[in-house]
Amino acid sequence: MSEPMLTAQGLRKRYGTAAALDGVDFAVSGGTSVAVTGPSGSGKSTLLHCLAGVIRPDEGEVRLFGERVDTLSERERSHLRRTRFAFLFQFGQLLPELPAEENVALPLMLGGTPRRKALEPARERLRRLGLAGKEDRRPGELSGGEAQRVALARALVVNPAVVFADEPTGALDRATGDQVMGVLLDTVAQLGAALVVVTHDPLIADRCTRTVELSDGRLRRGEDARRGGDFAEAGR
Amino acid sequence: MTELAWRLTRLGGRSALLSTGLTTLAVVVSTLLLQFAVASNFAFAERAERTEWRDPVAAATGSAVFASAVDFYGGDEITRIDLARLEDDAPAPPGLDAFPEPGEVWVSPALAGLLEGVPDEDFVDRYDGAVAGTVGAEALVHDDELLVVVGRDAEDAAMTVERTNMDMVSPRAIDGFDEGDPSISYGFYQVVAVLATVLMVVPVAIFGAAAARLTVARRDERLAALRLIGATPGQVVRLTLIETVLAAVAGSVIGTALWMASTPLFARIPIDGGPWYVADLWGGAPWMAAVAAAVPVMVALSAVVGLRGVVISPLGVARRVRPKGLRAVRLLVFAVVAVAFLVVSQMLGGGGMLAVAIALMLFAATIAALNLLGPWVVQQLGKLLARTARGPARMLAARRLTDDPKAAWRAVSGVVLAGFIAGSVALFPMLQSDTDPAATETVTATVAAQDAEALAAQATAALAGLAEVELAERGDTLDPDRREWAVTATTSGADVEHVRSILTATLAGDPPEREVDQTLMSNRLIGSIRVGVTVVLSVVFATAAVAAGISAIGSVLDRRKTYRLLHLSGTPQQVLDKARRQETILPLAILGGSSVLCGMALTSPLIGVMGLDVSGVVILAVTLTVGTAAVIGAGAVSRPLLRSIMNDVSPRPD
Repeated sequence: MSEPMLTAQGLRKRYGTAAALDGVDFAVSGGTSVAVTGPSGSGKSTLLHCLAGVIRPDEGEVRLFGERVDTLSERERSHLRRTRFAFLFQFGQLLPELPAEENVALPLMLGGTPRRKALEPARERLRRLGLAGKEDRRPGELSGGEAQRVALARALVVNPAVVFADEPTGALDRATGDQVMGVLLDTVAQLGAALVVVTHDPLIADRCTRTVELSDGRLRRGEDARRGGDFAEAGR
Repeated sequence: MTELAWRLTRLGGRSALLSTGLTTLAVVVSTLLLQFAVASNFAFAERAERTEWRDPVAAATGSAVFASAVDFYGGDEITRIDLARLEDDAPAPPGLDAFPEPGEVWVSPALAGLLEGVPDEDFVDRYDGAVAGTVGAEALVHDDELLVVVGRDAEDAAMTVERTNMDMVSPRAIDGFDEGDPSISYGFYQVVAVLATVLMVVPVAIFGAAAARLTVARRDERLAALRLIGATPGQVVRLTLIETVLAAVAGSVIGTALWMASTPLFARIPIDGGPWYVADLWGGAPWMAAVAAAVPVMVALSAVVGLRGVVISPLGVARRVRPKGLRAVRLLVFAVVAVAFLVVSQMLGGGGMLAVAIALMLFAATIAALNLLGPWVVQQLGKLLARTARGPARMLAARRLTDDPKAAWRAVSGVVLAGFIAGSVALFPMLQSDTDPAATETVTATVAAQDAEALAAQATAALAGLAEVELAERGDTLDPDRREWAVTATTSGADVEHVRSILTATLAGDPPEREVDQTLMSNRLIGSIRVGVTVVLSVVFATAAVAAGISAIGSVLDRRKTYRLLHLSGTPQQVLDKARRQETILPLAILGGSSVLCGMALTSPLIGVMGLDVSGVVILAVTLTVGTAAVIGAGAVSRPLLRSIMNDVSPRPD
């Protein structure tokens, strides 16, 4: 657990003339969580997209278990995102026409597992997240918290190395949000996976192992350093 | 309010503009095709009106004698009008400046062209006169019509001998040309035109209406923002309605303008042997305005119906529940209407206009009911596939079909209807016979029994050895009990028109014909039906392709957020493309196939199964190929949009 699982160095990304990332270093180890905070437009989502191999940085490199991610082709990165990474968003990631269990089974099926076989771990995952008996419901028939737990089940069903969450509780009320966040942190820790959470919410950031704050595409030091947010100490 | 709606449309960003643009485009296409469908009926009426002078009402004591006949030359039919003056004030027929004097032969411009270089003995000598000029367009059905007006003496045999053919008018005294009966074939064409209109209007109307609802459905996100700042649901509905109607009005105006501009193109579609006068297509000009005004109203009504189901919460979270099961009563409705149509059309034989009207209405109802049945079948298909799917693409497609069967049906309904039409006409034998002269030809004229011997002798003398003449008694083709006498002349293929000219001049009454000449009229009818079927299928295909394209783009826009997130989670676009393809192709294959069979089943009792001939097979094959290609192609159009949406990871999308 001491070796960083996912690292990035010197990330730079420009949209037109505006720099979204301006030399960012990053690292996260298995079993730990990092909150990425900062004001709107500070580059949080861009950092997440670069780390997850959604977009390529203009400069710098991203490594997963020491292997370069940013140099892979689009197809290879898609495969990587499907098999080693998992994502959790504010809302809207579930396909409304699929029942919960099929939504969860989808990543496995995309990986080539036949439906019948993919449904078993999917149901198991839902059961463990307290959704037994709701496998057959559609997202619209679930409460916000339940839907978010289904999304979490889907994220975890592939046993990912890294889970990326972008404002995962943004659409939930405080109590439900806390509950979902708790489940998220617990299960990620159980799996030994790393968690990267983009959030505005200081309470959520507080629950993570450490916090990094972005401002104008750069990491801000200071307050965060207190919590050991520096790259050098990341492997704590 | 209108101003605000307009600003929202204009400033709504790329995707709002795109979806409003799609609605406008859909309305443009719908309006253009509706205008065409409506105008075609008026065009046939205009043509029919121009045939009325060829069957003028009889007068007790007339100022002229009128008769008509059908002449043949080579492989062409020529309408002949025989006129003889009884009094000095005999009225000039349409297309001529004055009443034709004996010996004057007036030809239509197309006939003049045909006769160029033809020796008089082969044609003009039939009428014992010389060409005096050309007949004006106001007397012609179309520019390519072959027509001849012959001036004769009232004592001429051609003005006294009865005609036996149904298409000809026996000599009668007349007082003028203003009142008369339109030609029988135009009565038939007008009925067929109504049928074709129904076939075209139903899908076009459904498509136009569906497009309106698409815009409404795509609005939730932006409307949610309005609800957040305190707009009431009523205001939101009104804003959307205004926006949709603005798009519809623009589409209707553009569509009508396009129709006006393209009438010269549409006029070139040959029916009944020739193209249309552009003015014919403008025959229903007041109705053009009515259609242009009706379209936005129809779109608005449809939008209101669509909005009823969209309750926009201020949070804009589109609540999705278990898909509403469509009830099997849809199947029942379709079955009842279809059976009613079959029964009524069976009883049509002796029925009058009312029966025809009822049958047509039931026909339209059957097609409309097909539109009820379609989504139900799609949903059943989706459920079945969802149970058996193994891979992700099939599963996604199956769930989509179950979830929103109406959308899937919209994408394929056009081609299904085309399959239905193609299936209906596939059983009609549509081969045209070959009418070129053979090495040896025989022409036959029917003559009255009491004159038979004398006329045969006259003909032999006039022919002077050019052909062998025989006189035979035979049964009438329609009534075998009625005996008639036929003068038959056998000659070489090269001399046949010369012989025909001599016989026509000698034997008044029905002009002599080759056996194959009798098929000319059915050839022309078959040609017209072929063109008509092609036109209807083209319109339906155009609708189908545009509808499929618009619904594909619409569904990508609707689900852009989900697609983007799926991409982030590593879903390959190929899987989504495959799922989207299956969403269309699976219902297309099953519904398209059954609609072809359904079309065959519906019309076979009407025409009796005559078996498939080559043209039926060709129509079927082309329909299915073009239809499938159009729908798949239209779906492919949305692929770049999907790619751009999937890869859109700009910091603040939407």
